[in-house]
Amino acid sequence: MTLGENILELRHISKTFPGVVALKNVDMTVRNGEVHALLGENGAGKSTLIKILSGYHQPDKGGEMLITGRPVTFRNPKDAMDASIHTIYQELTLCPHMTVAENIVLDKQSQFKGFMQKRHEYQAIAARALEDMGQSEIDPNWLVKDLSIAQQQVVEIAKAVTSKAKIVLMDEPTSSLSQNDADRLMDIIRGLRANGVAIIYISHRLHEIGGIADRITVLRDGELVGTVNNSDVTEKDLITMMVGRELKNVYPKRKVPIGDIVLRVENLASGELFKGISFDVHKGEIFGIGGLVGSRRTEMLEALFGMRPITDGKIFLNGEEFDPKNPRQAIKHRIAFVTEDRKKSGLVLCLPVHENINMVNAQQPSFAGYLNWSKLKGVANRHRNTLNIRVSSIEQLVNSLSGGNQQKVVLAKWLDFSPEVIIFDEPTRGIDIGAKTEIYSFIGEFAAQGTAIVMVSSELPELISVADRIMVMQEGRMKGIVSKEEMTQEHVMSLATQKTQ
Amino acid sequence: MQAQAKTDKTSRSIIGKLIIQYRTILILVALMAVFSLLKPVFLNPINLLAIIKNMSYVLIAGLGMTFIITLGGLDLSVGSIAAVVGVGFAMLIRGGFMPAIPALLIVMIGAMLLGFINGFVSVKGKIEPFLVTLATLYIYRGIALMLTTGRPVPIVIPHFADLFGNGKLFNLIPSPAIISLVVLLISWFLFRHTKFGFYVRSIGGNPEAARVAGIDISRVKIAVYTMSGLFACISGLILGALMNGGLPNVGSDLALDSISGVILGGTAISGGVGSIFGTLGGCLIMAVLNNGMSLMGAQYHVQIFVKGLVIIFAVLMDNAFKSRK
Repeated sequence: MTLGENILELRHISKTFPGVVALKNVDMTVRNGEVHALLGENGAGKSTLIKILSGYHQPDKGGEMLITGRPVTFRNPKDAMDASIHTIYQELTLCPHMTVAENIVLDKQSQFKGFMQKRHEYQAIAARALEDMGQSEIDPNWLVKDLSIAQQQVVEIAKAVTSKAKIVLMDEPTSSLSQNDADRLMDIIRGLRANGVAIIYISHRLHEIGGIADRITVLRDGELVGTVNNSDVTEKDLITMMVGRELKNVYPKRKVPIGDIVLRVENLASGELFKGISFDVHKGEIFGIGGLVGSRRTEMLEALFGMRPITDGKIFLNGEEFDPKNPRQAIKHRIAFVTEDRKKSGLVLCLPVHENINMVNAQQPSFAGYLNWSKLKGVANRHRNTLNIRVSSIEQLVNSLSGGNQQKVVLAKWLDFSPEVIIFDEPTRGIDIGAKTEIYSFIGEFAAQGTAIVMVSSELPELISVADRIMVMQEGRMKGIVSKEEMTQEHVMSLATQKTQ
Repeated sequence: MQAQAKTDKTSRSIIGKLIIQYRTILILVALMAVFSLLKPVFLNPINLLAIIKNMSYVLIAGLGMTFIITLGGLDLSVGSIAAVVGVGFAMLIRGGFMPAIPALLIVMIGAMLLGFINGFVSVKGKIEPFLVTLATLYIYRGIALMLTTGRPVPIVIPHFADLFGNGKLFNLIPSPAIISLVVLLISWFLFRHTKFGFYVRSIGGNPEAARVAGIDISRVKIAVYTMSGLFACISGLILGALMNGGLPNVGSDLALDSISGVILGGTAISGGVGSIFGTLGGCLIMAVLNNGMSLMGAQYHVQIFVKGLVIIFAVLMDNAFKSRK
């Protein structure tokens, strides 16, 4: 086969999950010997596309996948591997307690005959592959758990190379690498390309894509925006392609007077996770935080709430220094936190709605710890009406509620608490438009009552329509604070993707 | 057609729910029906009261275990704590060294301390409670054996045996049954109507959510293990009274029997969902099995074989009717 021929063709690929269309009618071609970058905001459909290519998801009927011109269907990941597609995930999937060589041959056991392990053959195969990649300093006998992340990634790639993969998918391969390691990875990728391998490369880092990609396909909201030659476009063009989303659902914030500073953060850091974060939030203000995956926004919020150690910098609440050691202290200082993953840390799924709503209220002092459930149920019913939580009874387990209603239950927890500061992390993730509108109006309600609001959201149009100011973070650093006047999707996205100095 | 299928599905899930909710009672009633048909003497009130008396110490340890398992933990050391209590009490009152009341207080505080150690080491050392209490299962048993050099110590005050063992109220109701009833009601109140019980259920259901809501997880955990120690102490006192002495080997099955009672009662081993009255039902199932099979002349060997079958049957029943998602 000659270089530059189409090795992979996707025709009209769609994927519908219950209630969500993740991919709509996507066409894409990948040539051998090219690095093809896949670009898009959070939730644009990149992950779904990768999972289809690697056999984890099956596309809806009507779509077609062709490899070297022949139609294929993948029922499972093994089918994809047999069709010589190899995927390298963000979280590496090596066995840490096995050697490099053992890991490399693990998926090729059918090549070896007999019952016994063939240690010397394994080592020879691994050594040759590593040498071809110019990585001979990795000893095939080392245990994977002793390797650095970058070296583990090299082993993953060696695994792909030795299984004669023709298409290698890489999902954010540089997200946890240093600049040096990332540069070396780029060299390895160029080497693969020279050998005729097609690489599908997913990354948020525009400058990285600019340096390595031959062609770039941009997705937005599950739809194909277009495929372009890298040499024909600038970073700015790419940003416009990524964010050109219609502003059809806006949730303008009610005008409320902005008061004094409530929360002030100075030069905050937690180890190497994030550093040098400074901002202040006023009474009645919605302070948005934007950024892409890996911007460590959640980690920063967790530090504000006492869930992560603060290694440098200061937090002031109403002018007084505040050093939260655990969530309890933060709550005592009237800070509330609506976490990103409601199932993981927002709700107790096996308890009924009213017990979840009262999880904070119940902690008020009472005689001998007695809980007056009939009173608490009254509270829960009141919140159910205010927030329009749709349940047949407050005795229903939260487990059985829709995402939007679950999120309202999380909000209801803090209704009687009258917080000074309330932190929202992705408050509308995975919920329908109707519930989104309601949630934003409650957030506005909190602001109107004089609460200072810090809100992380990856939904850029929403963030822009709701927030009074937006701080943009990238890889644990702050990239700037955008005022209402300068708020455009392009501006925020260019801050979120610009090259790290 | 579709609507039909839907109603079928919901009605089936309702029946399934009812079966899960009442499966403990169903199994209990079924067993009692079988035994009373095969051996009419089974239903004799004296026999029924004997069942309750004989299960009392398992039930009390099981009530503490209900809190522990709902919290998402496990306490394997309760039997060893019960042995230390029996031995300790017997030695404190031996030869009039100490009056009974202060001796009782000392063993109670001692048992709570042993429970506290379980909780403290598990929380502060960040060790699985299974491992901590596996270790203390040996350590506490070792204490009981070392104190007595392995020999039983007689308890020779008559009121003690009446109060905790073979005494009967109105010449009818065995005193261990009354003690169990009191502990049962207190447990139920704590579990359902106090902050403490609410915290236990929340932490067991999702520790991360409990933490974000500001609940002091470490304190609650340690308190629960301390309470389990106290309940094990009461079990130990009943065992001591029934046997008229502190036996260092007593209660070696107590932990597993009480865990079985809790599981049979519908408390989830994964935490979060527990039932105090379920534990009563679960312990009754095991006690009825023992008693009924003894009446029928089955030996201990057969009894434990059947006990195992009933446990696996009950758990399979849960899974079969659980609504699949």
